[in-house]
Amino acid sequence: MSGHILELHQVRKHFRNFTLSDINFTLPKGYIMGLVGPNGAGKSTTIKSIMNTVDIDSGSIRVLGKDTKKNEAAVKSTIGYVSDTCIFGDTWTVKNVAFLMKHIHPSWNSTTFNDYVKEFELPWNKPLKDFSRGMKLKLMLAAALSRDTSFLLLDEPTGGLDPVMRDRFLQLMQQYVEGGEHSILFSTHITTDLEKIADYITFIHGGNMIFTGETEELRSSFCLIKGSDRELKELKAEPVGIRRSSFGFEALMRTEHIRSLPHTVVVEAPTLDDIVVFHTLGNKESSLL
Amino acid sequence: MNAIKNCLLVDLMSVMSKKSLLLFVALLLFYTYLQSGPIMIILPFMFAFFPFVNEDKGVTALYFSPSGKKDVVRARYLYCMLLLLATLLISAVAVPVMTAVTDKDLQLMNPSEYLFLFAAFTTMMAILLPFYFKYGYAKCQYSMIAVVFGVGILGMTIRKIPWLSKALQHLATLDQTLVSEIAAGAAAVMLLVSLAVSTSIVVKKDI
Repeated sequence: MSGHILELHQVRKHFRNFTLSDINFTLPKGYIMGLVGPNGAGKSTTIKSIMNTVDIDSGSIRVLGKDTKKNEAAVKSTIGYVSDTCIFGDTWTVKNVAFLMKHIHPSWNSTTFNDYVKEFELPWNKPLKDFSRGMKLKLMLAAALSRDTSFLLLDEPTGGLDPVMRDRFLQLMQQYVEGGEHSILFSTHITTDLEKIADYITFIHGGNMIFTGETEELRSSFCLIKGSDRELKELKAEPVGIRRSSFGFEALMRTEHIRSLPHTVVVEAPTLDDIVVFHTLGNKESSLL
Repeated sequence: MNAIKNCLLVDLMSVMSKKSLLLFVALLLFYTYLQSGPIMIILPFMFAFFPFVNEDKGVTALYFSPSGKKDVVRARYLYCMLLLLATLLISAVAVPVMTAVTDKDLQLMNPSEYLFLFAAFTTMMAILLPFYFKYGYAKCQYSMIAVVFGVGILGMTIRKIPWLSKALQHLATLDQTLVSEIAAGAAAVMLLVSLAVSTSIVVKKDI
């Protein structure tokens, strides 16, 4: 077996108005990968494909070397899943969730779950319909972390969390991968979270994979340039994305073109946010004028 | 088998609130008291689609638990049949108990009547479940009424076709035990075909 927890090979899924095409990436053991991209890019479809709740048209997905379609139940038992929407019933309570988990997961650890419920201040007997979005996320996180999994699959998990809880969440994620045997795939819009913890990034846009690799490699593949309208006209290479304002322009360029840039433009290292935003803008010269 | 047990547990949790269980038992006792045996078949119908209601509301815990999509389908069929079994068992226990505590002399149904109830419920489930798996509860909630109307229209049509009407009348003169056994057998075969159809629907379905 390879040292990869997750392997996606040529994954394709066609919907009426959207196609996820040729997604290829691998996630090694002991690392955290961020899945980034604008809304509708295909992040959730990719995650659901891994959970086999979306039936892919072609390609293959392997978790710990096992095909997710052929070994669905075995694969799911190794994955802890947290999504942005609650997968439990509205009328259920934390007690009901604990009861269910205890019976369906042989590796369930009630003590760990009780500790998380206490730490996250979740009420045991309140129906989930009275929980805030953040509380539901905490519950799903507690449930995912209270059993023996090899891999956490997180679909927009930090959206409903306050800054204190988000910080604790990132700490928990780092603890999870510490031993080198566990990995995390984590989709989010809040790329600042990823900059803190992600070792790898996979960037999807319009159903196509733009990049997959180490976070630093992604950031160093691009540069952010700022300049005047005159300097914009002097650009020899096509920017990945561009935004114009009354002060001039900002553009995301591939680093390989850095030598051809006018000497007067300001060159900065882009954030992950910049990379996602400028790819989404494209070179249509989006204007803030 | 473990995966099916997991799925069954999630489905049962969708009806395991105290209110719904009390409603189930109260209605069952009420029907038993009225001595309206066949009418109590409504009860498993009422509860059979609860898991689909929850799925419409986004309760997808089942699909993220260590079970395959095929297990989800098998467990849902099993859940429906267990509902029928529970109804018949509670009713069989309730009749002697209620006879003892009330002044009514309630009668248990005979085995043929049980088999006819099984055939009716199983046939309806065999027809409806693939639609519920394909379209969800919201789009299918009136399908049961459509099936009931369909059966009514079919009955009226049969009455107007002389040879079919005669055949039915002849059926009524036959040994009812044998007829009920054939009906139950045919319904069981329909259920197996329906299970295969539902499985192929769910395996290709995006949740």
